[in-house]
Amino acid sequence: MIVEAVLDTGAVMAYVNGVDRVGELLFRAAEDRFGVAVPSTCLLEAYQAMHVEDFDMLRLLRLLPIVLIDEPQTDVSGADDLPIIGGMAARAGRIGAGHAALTAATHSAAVFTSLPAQIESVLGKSWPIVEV
Amino acid sequence: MTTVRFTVSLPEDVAGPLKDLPAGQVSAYVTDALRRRQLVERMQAALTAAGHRQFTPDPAETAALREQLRVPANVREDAIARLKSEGMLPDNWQPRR
Repeated sequence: MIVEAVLDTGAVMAYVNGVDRVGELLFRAAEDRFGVAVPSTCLLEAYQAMHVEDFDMLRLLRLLPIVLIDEPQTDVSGADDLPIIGGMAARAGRIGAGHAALTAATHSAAVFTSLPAQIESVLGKSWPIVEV
Repeated sequence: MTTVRFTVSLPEDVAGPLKDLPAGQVSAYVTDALRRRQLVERMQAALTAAGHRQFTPDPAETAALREQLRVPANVREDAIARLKSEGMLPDNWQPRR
């Protein structure tokens, strides 16, 4: 499945809060069967910021076949995303933003975020970034 | 996979294209159409649970959104070259597409 968009932490929170821009993205993804990636660290940041009673909404999101959870690769002798994410996070100012930037670069996908400057600091101002 | 046999009645204009399909392809065609619809319904249910409005399928809107999301090749290549030159990506790093 082709991934067209990445949800940064703020976009995951926007889904939980019924923000239309994220809802429409997810609906169109289901309609046209393209993927939306959610970095696992962004999910962790979202869980950290949410009330426990809202956790079920993220469970529903994670179960959708168009939602692909991006896990960092951790092979110290091969594909190793951890130093890359750490370096990007140092520039962006947040682990989730670093992971979202790498996921977007990996899939050549747009980023939905509430903090566009953090993503721009890594991917540049020309990269498609949708503020939510 | 277990399958179930169904007899359905369809309007002629809907059934027309099915008659042109090769033998044995009608079930696959109908299965694909139903899976697409079920995915959209499941998505809407998840969105409704999170307080979102009802969305309506619209191929033109969807095409416009995909165009908005597209990362131009030169933007992708420039970003990756810069990140490699800064040591943020390994020299042998490759995007998946």
